[in-house]
Amino acid sequence: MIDILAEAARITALGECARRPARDAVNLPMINNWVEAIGDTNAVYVDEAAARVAGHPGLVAPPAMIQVWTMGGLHGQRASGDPLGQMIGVLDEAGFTSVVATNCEQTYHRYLGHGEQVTVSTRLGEVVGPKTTSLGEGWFVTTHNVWYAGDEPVAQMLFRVLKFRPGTAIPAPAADVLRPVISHDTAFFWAGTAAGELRIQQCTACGSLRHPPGPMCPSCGADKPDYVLAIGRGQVFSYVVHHHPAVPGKTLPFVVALVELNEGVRMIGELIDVDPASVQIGMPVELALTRIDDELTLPFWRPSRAAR
Amino acid sequence: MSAAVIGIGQTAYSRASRRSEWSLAVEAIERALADCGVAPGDVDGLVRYSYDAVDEAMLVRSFGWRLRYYSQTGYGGLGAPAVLAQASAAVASGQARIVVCYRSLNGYSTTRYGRAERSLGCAGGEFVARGDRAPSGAFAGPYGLLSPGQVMAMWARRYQWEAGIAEQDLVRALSRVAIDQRAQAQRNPAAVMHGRPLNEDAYLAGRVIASPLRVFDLALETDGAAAVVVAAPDVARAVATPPVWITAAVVGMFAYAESISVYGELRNGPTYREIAERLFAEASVRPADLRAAMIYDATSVSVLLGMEAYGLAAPGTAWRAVLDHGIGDTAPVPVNTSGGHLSEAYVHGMNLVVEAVRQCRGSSSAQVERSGPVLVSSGPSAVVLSP
Repeated sequence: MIDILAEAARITALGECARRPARDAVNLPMINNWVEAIGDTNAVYVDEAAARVAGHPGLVAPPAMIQVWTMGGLHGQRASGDPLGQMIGVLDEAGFTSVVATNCEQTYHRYLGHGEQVTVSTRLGEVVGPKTTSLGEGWFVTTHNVWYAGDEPVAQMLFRVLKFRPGTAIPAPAADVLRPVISHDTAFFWAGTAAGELRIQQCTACGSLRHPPGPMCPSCGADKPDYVLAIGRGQVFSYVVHHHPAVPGKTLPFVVALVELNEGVRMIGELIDVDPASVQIGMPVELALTRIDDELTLPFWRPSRAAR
Repeated sequence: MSAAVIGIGQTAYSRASRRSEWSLAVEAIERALADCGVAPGDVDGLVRYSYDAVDEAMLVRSFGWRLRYYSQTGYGGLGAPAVLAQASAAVASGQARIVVCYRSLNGYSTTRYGRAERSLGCAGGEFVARGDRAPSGAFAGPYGLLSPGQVMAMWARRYQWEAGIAEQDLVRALSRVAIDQRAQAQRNPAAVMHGRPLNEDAYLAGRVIASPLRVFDLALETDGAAAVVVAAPDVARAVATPPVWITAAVVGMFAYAESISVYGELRNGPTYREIAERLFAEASVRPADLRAAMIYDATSVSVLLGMEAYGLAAPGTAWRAVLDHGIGDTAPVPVNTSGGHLSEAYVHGMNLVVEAVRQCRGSSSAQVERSGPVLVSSGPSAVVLSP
């Protein structure tokens, strides 16, 4: 069992690691590539006259390139004494093998001129955990970098990563909705909405429609229901504009309508994309099947396009 | 006449009883028994609301009863007339001679019936929309249709449309219901809203809950209990209190007639009116003969719908009748004379039953001077009580 906090304390106690030099001095070819890639058109980085007009002694490097100068290149290896590398190793070993960067805050003390040779140091800051996150159980690791020109600090960075245990993510909280309890009698309805259909129960014997669904036909007593697909049009039979109290997941006021479908049955649904003051009984509406999440699609309604 | 209400009792009505519902039930029943002078040991039947947290086992233990009959009524507020119907049937069939009916709830401090949580299910620690009834069911809850008040706002909107009136007319009629019931509460010292009159400006300044309903259109939330004693004719004639006869009763149920449904017909519809006509035929009275009517008022619009269902106004006209005459002393048939659920207390209809008995006895705080029977109705359930 790895004592993550003890390891973190040990690495933190090492303080700032040895400074690592940049591969190249600050130079125009790298700057040209970078500003083109980023789309930075500021002339002070590429036009010496413009730089002088702006008050610089000559061409300067974009401050945000600071980390570029000390990157390891395509095949670069992290130095063995690097505190971030050490801490990541500890967490990898403890099973927190996945990583995502969460924070990067850079501070620039001055512009760098061409030809300057920078170095960078790293020290370990806070190691916080274990935390339950939406990605999984993990630790937040914060490091502090300082870039130097000679012994002069020219920039610094707070960098934080989340090292997490893969496969421990808590499912994203479902949309703030009251879930319908699905029964043997109603499963076909909800399977329908998920499939993009609005299903109305129909008696196989006499053909009459009914909603909400049930096991027996109230018209003829037959107990073999099937369903038909609603065309998804109807009109407002009645409605309520709800003002108070607040309802989870809803923005006040909201409109709930009792919709009389063209097929004849009535169905409750939220009326969306509508000014509550404009709703009227008899108003034509059309189906707006709304996917809430993987498990639930709700039939909502909106004013019919023809009427808008 | 096969059964009569002989005793009534109620606790204080408040928003903070600081007592158990069990304790409230015991007090209301003790008062009802004391009212008619029946010894607690003589009770042999009990009818309660299925919703009541105080059950038969608790009460037989408290009172030492040996019951021969007990039963329950479903669907909440539909139980107000239904408990009397069952008690009457139990007495008429000889299964019991003295039946207690009660309702006890800490409707503010424990169970708030207007809240969605009551009717939602629970799964994995989360609320879920179960069943298919609205509000709160699988086909309603996900849209935020969660409370009785919202459903009754839909009724109100539909009523406005069917009556062919402007929202302004509907709101004036609803406000008149709320204001008149509040005025009756000023005459009833037991009413929660005693001392707190309401005028139209204050009504209109009330918060909109679910338009077109405002806060004053909705029933109160009350801690309290009420009880009545129903007995066979020989018992009724032997006690000191004047008997109030249960002359007709109906406990109706048909598709979507359960409490607070959004489907089916509006509660002034033809099936409701047929039920009412049969009830009045059995009671041998006409709606116009009524002394008063207690119409279950979960919201103000229920009063308009109930007036039309039970023949106090033609369909689509109760709003006009209310604007013309109100529902108080100047109405042809005064409604909810104690202040009702909007202003006396919300005891799930039992306080309306108690007030109906008071009207029959001549002891209401808003006593209607003329004689005649009294209606107690709640959707498809109703009784006619006669002195």
